[in-house]
Amino acid sequence: MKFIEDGWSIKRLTRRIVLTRAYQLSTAADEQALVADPMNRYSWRHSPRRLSAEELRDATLAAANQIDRSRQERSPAHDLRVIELRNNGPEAQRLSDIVSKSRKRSVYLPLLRTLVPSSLEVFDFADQGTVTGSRDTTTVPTQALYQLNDVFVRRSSLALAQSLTSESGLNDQERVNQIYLLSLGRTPSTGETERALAYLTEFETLAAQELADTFAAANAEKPAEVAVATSPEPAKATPELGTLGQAQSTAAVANPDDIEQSTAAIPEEVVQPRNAREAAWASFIQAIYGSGEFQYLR
Amino acid sequence: MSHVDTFDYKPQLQANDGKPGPGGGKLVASKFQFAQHGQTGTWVSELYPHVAKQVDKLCFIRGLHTDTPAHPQAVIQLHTGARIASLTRPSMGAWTLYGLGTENQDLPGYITVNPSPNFGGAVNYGSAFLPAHFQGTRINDSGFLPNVKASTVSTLQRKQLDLIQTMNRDLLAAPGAPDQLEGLIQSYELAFQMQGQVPELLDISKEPQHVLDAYGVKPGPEGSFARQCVMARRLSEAGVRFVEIRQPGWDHHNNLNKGLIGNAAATDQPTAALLADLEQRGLLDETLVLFGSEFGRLPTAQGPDGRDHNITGYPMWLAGAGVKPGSRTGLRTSLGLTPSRDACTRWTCMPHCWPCWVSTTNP
Repeated sequence: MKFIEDGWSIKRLTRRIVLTRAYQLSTAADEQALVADPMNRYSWRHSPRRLSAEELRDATLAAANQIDRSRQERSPAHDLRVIELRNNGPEAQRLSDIVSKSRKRSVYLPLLRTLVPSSLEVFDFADQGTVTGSRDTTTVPTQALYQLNDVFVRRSSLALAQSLTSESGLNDQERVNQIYLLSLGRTPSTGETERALAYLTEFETLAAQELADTFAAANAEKPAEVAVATSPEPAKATPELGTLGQAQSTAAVANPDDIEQSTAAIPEEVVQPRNAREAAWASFIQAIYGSGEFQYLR
Repeated sequence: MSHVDTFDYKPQLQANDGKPGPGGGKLVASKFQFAQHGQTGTWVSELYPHVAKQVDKLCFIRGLHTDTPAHPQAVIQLHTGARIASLTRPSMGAWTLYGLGTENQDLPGYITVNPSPNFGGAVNYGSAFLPAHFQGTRINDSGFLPNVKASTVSTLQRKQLDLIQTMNRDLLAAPGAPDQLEGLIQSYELAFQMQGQVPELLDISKEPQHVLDAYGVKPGPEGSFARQCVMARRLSEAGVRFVEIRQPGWDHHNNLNKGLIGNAAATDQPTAALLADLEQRGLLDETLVLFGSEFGRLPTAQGPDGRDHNITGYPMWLAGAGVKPGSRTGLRTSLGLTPSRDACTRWTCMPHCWPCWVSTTNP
């Protein structure tokens, strides 16, 4: 009835739902309630679910203190003319480069047909070419591979590691506390703190042995580098989108059938900690992002 | 692919070179010599000498037709069976995986190599309304799969993974934990194993030199299809249920003859080697090979050296997996052009669930 009174507004309906007490409950469970209503029919808690692709990306950025909450002025694809967009062409590569480096909320990422941002793709993002009534929630190894290896996750982890380790007013226990608060919204238990500190010490020792050559090489190349080390960027790969317009003008005149269609390997950005200590902290933060507790609604 | 220049010999077309075609235009005979091969005496053109030696293994489906003479719609129909391309349906590979399940839990069940970036793009290996894990995993023709290369040394990553798993088990032990957590823990172990297995599987340099020579593997774009054939065999052997590989560039509105020579050279030897290799390993009887494209080309000329799209009366061939070797099915056409729709077999997505591979040669 309220829905009808509100003029069938889905937006108002959503607002009504998210403002209810039931919706705002956490997923915390107590044994008694679990026995009485294991399926949560009476909404005594928020049913656990994995975060959606966009939520997960935003949560990672927010937990790494990297998120830019400001509005996107306009889509990076704004200047593209109507063309059949190839997902391996120069426009696509520039767009995915912009998307990969973007720190805006996921809702502002450009969605072009067949071009799904890689940070959303593996977590059951709805394909923009089709109508999706309800998204799947799969649990597949490609998601784990993403959490272990993807440049976005590693860059975010390293950014937080660098900012925390360079802050001199903190001791390690306080740093662990900060990480837990930022990413899991709670402080660690005593056991968790001890485990974290032991992990950091062991990892640092191991990394110093295993990665000695890498650190030496990285520091020799860029001794004064402060930010995350990146490989040389392709020329003009900035969000100033004049380049997109230029690139497509050559592509647009060519017959699409004549264009080379093999997928070119895209050079990957290098995300490399500068020393064993940074490596240990980045690895710890990345482990938190990869944990079920981070990926599921709390 | 121009069927009248490759696998569909048309004596009447050869005899009527230059005469008016049935739908207007001027008939143009194939510039390539056809000859009979094998015990079945199947006609194959000189463009495919290696495949010709294996012709007794093949089962030709003739007189196929598709509904739209435009690449995007036809390619989507080829892959999903959807007559109306905008009604997204699951792809052939997704259905196969859905029906048969996967044979190797450590690998994706459906891999598409070098898929076309346009003509429907991901729709051609999508899962549509089937669950997302039935969709194809896309790799390029040098075997690149995102994030499968470990980002750090194995000892450090294992240590990190152990921490993740400890945290996950803690959470699992807590009351009311998410149901999928057990799956999450398993998926991390699988991912860690994939990092070891998949790059090795896709690294065709592991093959003995005589095998690489048989396929005609070489670097660069000319060797793309040969590399894909070797990858396809390795993936199928390892238990990947459905593999698709692709050679682009068959849209010969012009440059028909030179273009065909180049493309046939790129696909002939690898395709024949794939069939021989599968047979020699005892895999051919349980592997279905499908070779085809979204439509054929007209028997009439387009410009001085071209043929336009032909959506009626083109063939594909199958091999292995219990199909009758050396057989032909579907109606014969006199000019490689079927005038009546009733006479053709519309290409619909294979309803049967065989372990299979598809080798499509899109435009």
